Amino acid sequence: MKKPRDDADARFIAEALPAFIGEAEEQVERIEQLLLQLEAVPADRDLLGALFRCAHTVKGSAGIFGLDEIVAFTHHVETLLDQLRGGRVAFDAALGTLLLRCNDQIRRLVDVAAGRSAEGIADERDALVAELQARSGDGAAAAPPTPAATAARPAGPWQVTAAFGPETFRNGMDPMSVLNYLRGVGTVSALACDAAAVPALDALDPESCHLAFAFEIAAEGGRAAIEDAFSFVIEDCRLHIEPIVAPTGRLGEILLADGAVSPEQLERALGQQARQRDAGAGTTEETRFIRVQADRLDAVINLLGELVVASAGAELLARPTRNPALVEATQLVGRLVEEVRNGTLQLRMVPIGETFARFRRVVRDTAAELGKDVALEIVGAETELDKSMVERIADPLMHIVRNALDHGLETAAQRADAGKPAQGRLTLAAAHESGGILIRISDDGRGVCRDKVLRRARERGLLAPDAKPSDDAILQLLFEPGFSTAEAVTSLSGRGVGMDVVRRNVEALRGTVAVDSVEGRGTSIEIRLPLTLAIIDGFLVGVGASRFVFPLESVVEVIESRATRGIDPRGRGIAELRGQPLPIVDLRRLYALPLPAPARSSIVVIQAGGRRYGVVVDQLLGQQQTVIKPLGRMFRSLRGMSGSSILGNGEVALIFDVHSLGQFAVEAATAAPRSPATHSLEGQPS
Amino acid sequence: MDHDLVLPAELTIYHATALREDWLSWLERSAEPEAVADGAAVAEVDAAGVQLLLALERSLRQRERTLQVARPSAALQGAFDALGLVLPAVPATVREDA
Repeated sequence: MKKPRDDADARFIAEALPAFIGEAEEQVERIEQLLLQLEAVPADRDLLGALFRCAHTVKGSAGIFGLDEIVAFTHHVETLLDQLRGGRVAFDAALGTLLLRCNDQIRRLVDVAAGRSAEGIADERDALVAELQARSGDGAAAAPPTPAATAARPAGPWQVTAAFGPETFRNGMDPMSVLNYLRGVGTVSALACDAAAVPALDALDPESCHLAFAFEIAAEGGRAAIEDAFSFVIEDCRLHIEPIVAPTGRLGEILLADGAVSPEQLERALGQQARQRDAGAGTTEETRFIRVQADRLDAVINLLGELVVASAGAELLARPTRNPALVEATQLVGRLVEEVRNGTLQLRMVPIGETFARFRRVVRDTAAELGKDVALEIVGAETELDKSMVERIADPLMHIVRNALDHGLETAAQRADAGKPAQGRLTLAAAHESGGILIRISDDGRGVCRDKVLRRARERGLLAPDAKPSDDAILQLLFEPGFSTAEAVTSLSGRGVGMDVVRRNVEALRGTVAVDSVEGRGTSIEIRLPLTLAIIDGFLVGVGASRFVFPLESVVEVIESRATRGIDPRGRGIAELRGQPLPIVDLRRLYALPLPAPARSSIVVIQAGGRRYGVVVDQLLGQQQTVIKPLGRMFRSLRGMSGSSILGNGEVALIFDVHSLGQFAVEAATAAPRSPATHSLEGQPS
Repeated sequence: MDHDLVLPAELTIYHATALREDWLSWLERSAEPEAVADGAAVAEVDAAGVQLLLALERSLRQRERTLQVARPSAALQGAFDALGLVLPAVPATVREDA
């Protein structure tokens, strides 16, 4: 990155700072993930290289913005990472912890730079720097790890070879400028130009560069400063920077001195090595992205919502004209709008793995704090969902994960007594399921003790003393606000808050949360979310003059209305479907819509949250793209509704929340079939 | 001294293609085994210019001739130094006498 020049700087910095903050946060996040990955494969060169580059990027861009504290601190981290990368210091768990703490420190400094926090935390930083220096000392071959030795290290001499690529001149670069710049970076000595590749005049393309150089440099800024000098030519330049280690020297040099290889052979081998290294570096990360402001994207999506409505309106108008060309044209527009919709929504989709990966650190630290041994398994990290959804699901997930660590999973000793492997297992899984996403957080811990839940519920007066609820109903009790069976309130969870918030958060996203638990075997919590909050494929039905929309993916089939029995005053009853009882809801009764009912009506069979139920409607109006508008405050209490939509002809339709409508349907119908694994949840204690 | 090569004021990438043509034709015309290039006029020089000079030297060597640079300007000498190269210079005193 080019340093901005003097005057326009202030404005440039003010404008670019948010981008830097965003980038730095991403780098910090990556550093954390890389460190955690390294714990499994401590010597992985690709990971170590990527780690160094992340820290280097943070330092480099912080320098442009004059964020000296970040530069100074990150420099120490970078120094150690460089030694790790060079294999001079070995990665171990203690070092991982130190680097994680340092990374936290960088994150805090970035926060300060962003103006989000004003704390000066210099003491902690100094302590970390001292630890970093102590660790980087370990790698110094013979010298004892004194601070002086480590401070001097980066200035130590480096052997540099640089073969400039043929495009160098054409790209407007001059090796001479690079070399002159390096003379400002450090003391250059033993400079030699290798002109062996320069052809004779008749064979020369005078604009192609064939020059290579070898020199030694003692640079204050270490490897990074040397690399910086080459930053404008690096894409077209073979660059080796090796520390000069006095007693041994490089393998190639030893072989050369012994006459084991010729200089040409050595050069070829080094070139090959460099190519392999360069090729390897690209595979670990660095996908290309365009950064777009979220509100711009939201504006496009809002407009698109209007467009979907408008195009549906045009199609409705076109149909009665019976003009085939017009109908066809509007249909084509409709199809294209749908494609644009899909493409645009895709832009907002991010893999949930990024969110899951954050929990590696949580699990690692929390388990350590509790003295438990827990392995985190992540399944389906590539599953994508809407970015706004990802952001809002992170907190509920965090609470559930902490709960599982705190209450669900036992200590190694307890697990041994229970005949389980000492290491507990926590699984975060995600998968697409009928137009939505299913997130499952499961552990193999002690599960929910139903007796304890019952006892607590009675103590709290949540349950009549003589009530004998079913197993499922007991699990439902976990939802009650303020409910907690934790024997000891810890700093992590168990204060009886949170799980009801979890459910509220999930429901605010039009999702559901369910718990299943086998005592002694573990607990599994399932969160179902729609993929996006903006638009759904809807199935439009009519009851009288009213219009309702079901999410299309929840509609299983449509059957003719048939004899129903036991319809209660709120419209609930049981019908028969292929010999099975089917709980049904009659919308006319439920919403007290005007009678009379038509002679013929239909039952829409809905599948949601593991249960199946029917909804009695008058008319089937077909499939429709539906832009979801939130219900106004007045209608929040309306049961079974998740939003509204304006249809192409200007009518308003209400969109069903099929999960809560399903709960309503089966509440009365005790004989209703329901999957035993599914219950809404609010608190998972143990 | 007609057959001496006179290095231009600008020994840079911008003139490299044209210079190469000139020098190739000079190679045809001249035959001295110890060719001399006059470097006094060189005011601007970059790595491409230096490389061109190296290529010329190589072409001469193929013809079993040598290249020496007489009266190198400070710019030319500086460029060779900066690139870690030794300028094949004619000793100044000898040249002044000639």
